[in-house]
Amino acid sequence: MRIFEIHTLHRRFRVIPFLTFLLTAGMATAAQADLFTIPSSSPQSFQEIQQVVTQAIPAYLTRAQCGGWNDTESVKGAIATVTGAPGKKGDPLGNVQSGMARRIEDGGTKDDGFQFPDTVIGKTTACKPDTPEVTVHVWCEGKKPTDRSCTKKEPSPLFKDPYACLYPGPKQPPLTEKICQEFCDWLNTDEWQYTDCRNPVPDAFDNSDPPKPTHWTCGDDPDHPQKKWVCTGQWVKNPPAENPNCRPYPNDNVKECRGQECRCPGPGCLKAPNDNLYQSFFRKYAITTSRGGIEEVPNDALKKVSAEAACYGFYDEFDPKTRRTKPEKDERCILNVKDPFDPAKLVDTQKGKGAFTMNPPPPDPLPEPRNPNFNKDTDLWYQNLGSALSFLSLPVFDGNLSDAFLTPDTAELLSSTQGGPWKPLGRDGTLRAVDDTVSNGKKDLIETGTGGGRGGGRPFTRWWQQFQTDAHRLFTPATVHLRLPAAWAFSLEPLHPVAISLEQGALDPRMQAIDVQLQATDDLPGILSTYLQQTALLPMREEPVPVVVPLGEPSEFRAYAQRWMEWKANRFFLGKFVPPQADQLIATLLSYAVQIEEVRSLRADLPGILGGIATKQKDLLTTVAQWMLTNAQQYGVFLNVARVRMELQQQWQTIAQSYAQFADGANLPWCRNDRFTTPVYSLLDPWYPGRPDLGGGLPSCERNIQSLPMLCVPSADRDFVYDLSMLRASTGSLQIPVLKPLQVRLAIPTPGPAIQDIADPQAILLPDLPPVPDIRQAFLAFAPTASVGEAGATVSTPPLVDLPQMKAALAGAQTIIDGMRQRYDAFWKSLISDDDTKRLQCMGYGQQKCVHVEMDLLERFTRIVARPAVLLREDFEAYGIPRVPLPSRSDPGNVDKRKDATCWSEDHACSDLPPERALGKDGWQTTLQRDGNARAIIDGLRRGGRRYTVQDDGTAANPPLPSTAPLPKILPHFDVPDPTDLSPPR
Amino acid sequence: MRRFALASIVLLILFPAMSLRASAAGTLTPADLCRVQLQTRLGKEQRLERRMLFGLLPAKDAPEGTTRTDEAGNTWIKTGENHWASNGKELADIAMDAIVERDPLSTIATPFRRGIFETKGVLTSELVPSLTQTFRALSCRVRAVCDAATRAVHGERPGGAGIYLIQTPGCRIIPVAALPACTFIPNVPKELTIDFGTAADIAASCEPAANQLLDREAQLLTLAVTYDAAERSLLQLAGNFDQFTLLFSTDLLHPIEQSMTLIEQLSRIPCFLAQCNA
Repeated sequence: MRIFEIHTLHRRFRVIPFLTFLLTAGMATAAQADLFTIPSSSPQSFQEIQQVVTQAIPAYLTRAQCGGWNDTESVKGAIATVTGAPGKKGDPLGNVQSGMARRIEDGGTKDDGFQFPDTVIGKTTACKPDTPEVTVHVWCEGKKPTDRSCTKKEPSPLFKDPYACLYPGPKQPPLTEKICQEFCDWLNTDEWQYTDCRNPVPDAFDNSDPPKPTHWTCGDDPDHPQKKWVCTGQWVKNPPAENPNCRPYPNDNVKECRGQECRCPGPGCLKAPNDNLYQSFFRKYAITTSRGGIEEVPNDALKKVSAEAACYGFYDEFDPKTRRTKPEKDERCILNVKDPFDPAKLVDTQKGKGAFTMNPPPPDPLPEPRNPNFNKDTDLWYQNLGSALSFLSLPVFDGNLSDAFLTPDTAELLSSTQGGPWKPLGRDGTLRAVDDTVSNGKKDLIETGTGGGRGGGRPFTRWWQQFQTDAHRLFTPATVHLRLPAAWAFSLEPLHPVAISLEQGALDPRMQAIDVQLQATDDLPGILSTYLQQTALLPMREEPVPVVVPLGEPSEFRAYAQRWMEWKANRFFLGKFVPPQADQLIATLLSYAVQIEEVRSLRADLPGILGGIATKQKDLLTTVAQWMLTNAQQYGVFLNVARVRMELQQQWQTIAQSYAQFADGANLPWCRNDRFTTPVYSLLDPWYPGRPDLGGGLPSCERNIQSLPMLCVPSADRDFVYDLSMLRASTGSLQIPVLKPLQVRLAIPTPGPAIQDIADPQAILLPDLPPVPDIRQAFLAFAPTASVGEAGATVSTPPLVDLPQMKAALAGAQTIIDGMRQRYDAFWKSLISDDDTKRLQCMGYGQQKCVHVEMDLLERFTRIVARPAVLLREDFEAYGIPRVPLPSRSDPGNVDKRKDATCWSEDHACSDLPPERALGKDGWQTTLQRDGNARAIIDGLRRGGRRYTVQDDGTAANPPLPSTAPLPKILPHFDVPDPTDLSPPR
Repeated sequence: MRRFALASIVLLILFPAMSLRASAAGTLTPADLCRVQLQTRLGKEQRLERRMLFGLLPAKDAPEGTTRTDEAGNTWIKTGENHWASNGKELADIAMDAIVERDPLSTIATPFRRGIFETKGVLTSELVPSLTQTFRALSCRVRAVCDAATRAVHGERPGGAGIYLIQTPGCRIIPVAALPACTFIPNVPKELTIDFGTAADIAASCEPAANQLLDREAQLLTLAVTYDAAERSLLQLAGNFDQFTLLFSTDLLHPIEQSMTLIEQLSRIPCFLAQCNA
């Protein structure tokens, strides 16, 4: 039952770490398999998908070398036991939650857990480095035999640590055991002996009885002076004594240091008679490892391994956890793994896969079908395929899409939530990574949420997760969403069709057909601006205003006047009477000639009215334009800030690739699983900052080589949703009066022959021309003015990104990851057998293969022979605290539970999405006031136009226009069209 | 909905050619009187045709400024609420309704009607037969008037009740009231009847005038039908579309907007695969 539970719980996330395991190649070195890519991002049929899922992917997985799981097998016994190497042991399952072994830090000679093997063989010397001469105590002439208080300076062999074996010289590397033996031999030459008197004999006595000697002299054979070793003060014996300058004495007469004796300087030192310690400068370890195998890997070549390690330089005991190792000083050991060590062969022998499918797969824990009563003969919408979509049921759909649109189902989109234990979808975090920064502090055993206690809890992994999360946030800048009315997307706005084509090159194909406004180009604000401006202006409707105006040319009236003047002159000539009305008529005609010009001004009426209307609506246009300008500028800033951020992405990709190369390449030379091995702290140097502290220093946004870098992404990023979907075309139309002038010819009386008298002089009088009607002022006085409500909200400025800080942080991360990769790469490459390793010759500390630190050889070997890469039972217990989602705020009982919620921001899967600032649906609409004012204004204008010609009682205006057409003929011109209403009856 | 009123302009454009310049002194000759009567008849036919197309509202519903013609040929204009005026005479709405000119051939008692173009709920194509028929009727009637004038100037007496029964080619028999001013009466002084020369002139000029009238009406009818077709199509589309966008917005766009937000957020989920770092 428990197994099934684990399968279900971890089903989702299993795939991810396993892909890492399954990517091991069959090639010699760190090449990894090609990533599986899905052939087509937009499959054309379900069969294509089926082929990929059921055939291509399993075939790819089958080719993998290792991976998979075996829930029944235990890790116990699969972690190696190493003997013969110094270091600290670990309890593999002592700190399961951390993913590494618990380092045993008690017991042993110093009660710090440090183990020093008894099988080591080495060379020690009592001579001190860097000492060209020593002061030795010798017997002086005349002193008592026991009195060695005289001192003399004697030359001491000069050699320097750490390359002591290269002296005298220094010679060039390599350092080998043979060279160290030669060094030892050199220390034991008689160059480094001094003469002392072994047998002082008295040669003068006092007068006491028995006589006491008062003066001694040396009684040694002057041909055979007695020598002492310079460094130990011990007599040179032949055969050699126990304490020559260097052990072993030539010809191996004096034994080398063995076991704890080689642990010097330290607790195991041998002392020379002059209290000098025999410090070891060369140690050779014989190391054996042994562990159990696993069933899936029958040919496991790393179950029993034997190796030798040679460490040069004076013994320096320290704890790599608390002291930072330096390559030029501490990387002094070279390993020779027997038989011989060939990673290419290990790739084959360590192959083996566990299970990687579940057969049968567990049931799909999706919710119940939404519509259990679906009837395929009557229901149009099928809602049971998934929890979000609905499909048209073909038998019922007879091709009439309007029906489908008019009977939409309420399709609500729900995403499956990661709920509580009753809904086990992706409950947990990922399995623990192997991390050499794990330590044994009390705090480390427990995850403390907000990274409390950076010294514990796998600081490197947590830093890397946080860094990735921050990088992800950095490279998803905020976006501006613009939602436009539905009619736009279909270019169906009747008056102003705007064609918006679907984005073809969208970054994510899932977004292509749905949201055309995402990834908006620069054109969209321009289109929007045009549309808004056109929409803001009301369409206009013409209302005819008939007027009657006289027709005539000034020259015509002057011609008439001229005729009358001629007639007058003729009358005078004939001596006839000229009635005074003739003069009046002439004056009137001349005034007509002037006033008729004014009729032309009527032409300017319509443009004048339109201009006046436009001026009144100017506020609308300037408001829209100003809003658009502000938004366009802000939008430009938005785009620019986003672009600047995205420029850094290349650098980030390099870093991520470097990490991937480390995880799948440099640190995975063959299929192996490092979980539950002891952390090797010396592998953290020199790339890990803040050493010897394991916490990586105090990360900060400042560039600081003493701490892990942090990408400090601005937290005030906000998506901005500007919703114009309620934008409506303006309703109503503005009624504009348009003059419909009727020009009538004037009836101008003409004179008859001069000889003929005028019968009725009064009849020839003409009235003054009526003034030209001016409707422009009258209309504009009453025309509606535009008043603008609130301007819409504008896009807010995004927070700026500190680009130099980002770059510096990324550069710092690159340095760290590259350093890590090089370090581990050197570690693994140093195991490959060649001449250097076979002869255990070190080409220099930290050089080539001589890269191992002596103090954790035990841990290193535990790591080298780690078990194959199949996940066993306890591997699954190394996971983080399950995410407890945040309960809702609305339930008051949940307030306390919120502080237990664990979806921390450094958790890669918990990355927060930027909040969204969505304003309410917004838009503009121009509306006319609903009073009947327009109607009354137009009627008034018409009445005024009519009254120039016709009074209210149907008679001609006073004075009447002397037109040739009689009034009844003119009257029909004033007809007004009837209103016609074609809207359908309600 | 408003239509442009084209009638008044047409009248005055068409007929000044035949109108008389009112000279400072002078009465109208019989020929002038005949022409005036002819114009009046033709004008009435045109007004009746327009009434058929656009309708006639009762006086109280007509907007201010509406002009009507009575049986006598006088033009009345509505100058205010319940106030019609013509050359000094004033009437109320009800009285105006009583005297408005009527179609002598109509069998319906009331002259008030909805116009063909005011028919609701039909497409313009469905109106075309009625419009065509109206125009044909106009064509028959104006030719009948010209025919009656020709008969009158040639001295033919009308039939009973002063009616000529005219049948022009392609039309049915139309009773046309007599034109007294155009009737040639033999053996009366010249001042009281038209003379033969003028008769020929009148007879010959009625035909072109009628043709011109018909041509013009045809063109204006085409214009009106085009406008009507556009108007009705837009109405039909607008009504359906309003409904569509409302439903579309609430029922279909809303889930799409939700999915928009959701899918856009999907792209923000970090990619765990090394493939994404490449």
